[in-house]
Amino acid sequence: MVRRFRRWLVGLVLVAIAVGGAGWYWFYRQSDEAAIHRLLEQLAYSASRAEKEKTSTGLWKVHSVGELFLPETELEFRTEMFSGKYSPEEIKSNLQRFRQVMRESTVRYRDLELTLTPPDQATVVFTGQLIGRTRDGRRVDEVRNLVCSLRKSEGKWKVARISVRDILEK
Amino acid sequence: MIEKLLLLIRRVFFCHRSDDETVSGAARNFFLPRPTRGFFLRLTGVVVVSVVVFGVLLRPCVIDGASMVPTYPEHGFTFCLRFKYWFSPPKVGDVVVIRYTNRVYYLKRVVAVAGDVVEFRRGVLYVNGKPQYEPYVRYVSDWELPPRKVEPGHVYVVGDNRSMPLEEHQFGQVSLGKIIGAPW
Repeated sequence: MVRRFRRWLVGLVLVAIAVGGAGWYWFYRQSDEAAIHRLLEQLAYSASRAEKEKTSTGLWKVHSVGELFLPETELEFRTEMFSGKYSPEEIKSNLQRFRQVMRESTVRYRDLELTLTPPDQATVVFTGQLIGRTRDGRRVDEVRNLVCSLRKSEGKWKVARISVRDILEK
Repeated sequence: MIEKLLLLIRRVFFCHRSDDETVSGAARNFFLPRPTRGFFLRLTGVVVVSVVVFGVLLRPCVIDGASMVPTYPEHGFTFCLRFKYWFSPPKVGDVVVIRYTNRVYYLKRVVAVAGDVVEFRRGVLYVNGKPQYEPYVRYVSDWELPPRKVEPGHVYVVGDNRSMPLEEHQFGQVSLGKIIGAPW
């Protein structure tokens, strides 16, 4: 009798943990943090290119990245050449040019520090890494610190500004 | 003597009885322990402790690069004390480990904190206009770097080996979030 009760109790606790975990995961997916994580994952995925990637996949990646940026996004790089304000179309065009230069590339991000400023602004500081090979065989392995300002527009988080800096800035 | 040692090791680490008290029996039990529940529990414990200690608290690092010579020689080995800055930020003079990629870390010394103005004049480090006494720097340099202010949430780090040109030495201000610990 006691043993059966104990089994029921253990089973109940496991079910409660499973339901609690599922509930937490469901609520987390609706949160702004999760949405911003998905945005960054989409950015990294769109900028990455497998060596034998299908053309249709590449086109979809370039097309989908435009939805992640506001109508006017400011990009700030150390070199003046790429700094400036860009429209989503210009960003897509630059991304397509970058993908054409690379034979393969993997873009990763980590060490995320997210600060939410209610109701509709956020700042993300993270480390971005680009590993790959250009079409002429040159290996690329660059690591940068990125500061990304985001704004919520029509219920979706979009990038308003990206500032690219070195890990160690002289 | 060896037999006694092996018996002792077996008794301490495996704690199981064996009728085979010979040297070969003890060796067999030591190198090929019986897969009992106790053995797997002990193995799991060793693995968990190793992962916690060497994966989280004391990460082993091989030093590849001469930027901290002579304090930390090139091709040396050390542990990164991950817990060093869990409760307090690094101070001026501390040697810190900075995460660059998943497998690459920088080893540098903190020379200024947020709000300080840093510059180099003829190889001498100035912080807030005052020349700094740096006994750990063995090789003089001729670096010239205009003044720059360290931003909030950052510290300024430089290597101890300043014998190379300024452009070749990786140094500068780094976010506190990138500092993952201190070398042993």
